[in-house]
Amino acid sequence: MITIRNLSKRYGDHQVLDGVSLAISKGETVALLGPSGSGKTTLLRCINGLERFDEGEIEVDGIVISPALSSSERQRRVREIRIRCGFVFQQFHLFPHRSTLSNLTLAPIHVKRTDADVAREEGLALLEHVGLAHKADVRPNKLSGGEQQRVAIARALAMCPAYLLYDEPTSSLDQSRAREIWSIMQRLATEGQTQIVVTHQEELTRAIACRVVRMSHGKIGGGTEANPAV
Amino acid sequence: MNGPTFQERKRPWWPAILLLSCVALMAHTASTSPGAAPSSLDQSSFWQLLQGWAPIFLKGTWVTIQLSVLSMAVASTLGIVLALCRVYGGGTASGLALTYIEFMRGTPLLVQLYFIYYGLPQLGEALRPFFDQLGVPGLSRIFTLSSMTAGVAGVGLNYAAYEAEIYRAGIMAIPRSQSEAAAALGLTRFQTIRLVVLPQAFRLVIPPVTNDFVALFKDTSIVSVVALQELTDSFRKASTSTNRHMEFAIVTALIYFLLAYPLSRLARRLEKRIHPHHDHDTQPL
Repeated sequence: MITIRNLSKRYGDHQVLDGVSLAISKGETVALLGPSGSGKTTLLRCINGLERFDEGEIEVDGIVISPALSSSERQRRVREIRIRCGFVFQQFHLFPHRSTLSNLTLAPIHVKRTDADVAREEGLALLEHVGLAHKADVRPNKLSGGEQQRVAIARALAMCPAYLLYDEPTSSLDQSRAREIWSIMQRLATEGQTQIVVTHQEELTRAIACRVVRMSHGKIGGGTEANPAV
Repeated sequence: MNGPTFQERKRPWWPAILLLSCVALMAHTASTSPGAAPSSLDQSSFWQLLQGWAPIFLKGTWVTIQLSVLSMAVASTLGIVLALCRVYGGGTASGLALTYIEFMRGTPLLVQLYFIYYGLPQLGEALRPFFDQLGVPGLSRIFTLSSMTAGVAGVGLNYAAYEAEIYRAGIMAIPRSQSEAAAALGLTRFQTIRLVVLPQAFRLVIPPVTNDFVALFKDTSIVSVVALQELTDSFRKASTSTNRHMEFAIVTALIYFLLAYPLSRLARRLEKRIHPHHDHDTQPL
């Protein structure tokens, strides 16, 4: 369970987040929809500590972060949260010096201390899951954008995260590549993976069964709507 | 693709061949016509002379190679530490590293060497009463370094400042998004640096570091002033005792060149190979 309470953040005069409260329960897929500049990406990045906030608090499975924490305590808690929350970036951000497979095994081996052989096997299974087992030994720069994003999702899944956060996962991809990603996300949704997706693409909310939360001007507006599509 | 690569490999040998033929011609003239020798200290042909001096030159070359490799090891290791302090160290560590870098780059290597080899023993002497009081009189002796140790320390500590700036540029060239992606996976700051940032930075700095190694290799010739019997010292001995300055200078320069040139070629080739992969964060879709 992720609970966001009264979150506010400002850059100088600009109020990016203005008292946002939101609860996401296990197993649901939530789409955060809004125009650019509405604060949705900032909100997502606050959840796993990539961004700081000025007021309010975020609770992930009982771990609370708030602006009041000392920096060492914050660091410790943020890391706990990051292990629970996988993150998928708009521009993929794969590690270019590592093969596709070792992009997947890096975190399990060094963060979870998984045995290297076990991590490799699990990594291969995940690549199979996103249809890229045959690209295991290839460097990311040899992959297309859509393939890179599928690897990025697999990389996040390799840590068996309770929550998967996506920041505009298909905004850099063309329609057909985007559909491939959406079908993976839809499959994960039916498997019960909790997902939070930040997007400005209305089509995404039609391709994936999800709860839609609309944001504008740093606020959650217009209530939320259930969307049992597909 | 094949065309330019082929040309690139072919072209750089031209100056080498040209230089070699010039040198051969000069050496030949020098050895055959007695009039070319400016003095009659030693009337035997230069080739015979050279054969006699060859073991000393070989030994000098070997010492120069050892000195270069050891100095580079010191410079790289310390350089990485300094660069990490500069980038991640925060106020104090970053300030200290910057002070070290500016000081080392702002003072001549020759003076640094004199200080290490001749100055430190005097410092040890001056501190002797203090060490005696402490009950460890032997401590003053560790300030006296052998020529080789002084040379490695001098060149290594000096070049560390330059390596640090190269490594810093390499680290800064890795996009912030890479660190974010690593952090988002739960890697600690230290793991992020070790597993994600540094491996990518290393690839970028291989060409400039190799170039710097060539410069270091030639700068080791300065270490001859602290009585290390390296290549330049062999030259000085040979030329002063035979008065054949020109010929031995050419031989010495040639030995330096033959060792340095393949390295600079390697640096250039590595640069060609590494550059295309540089813009990894702006992949075409």
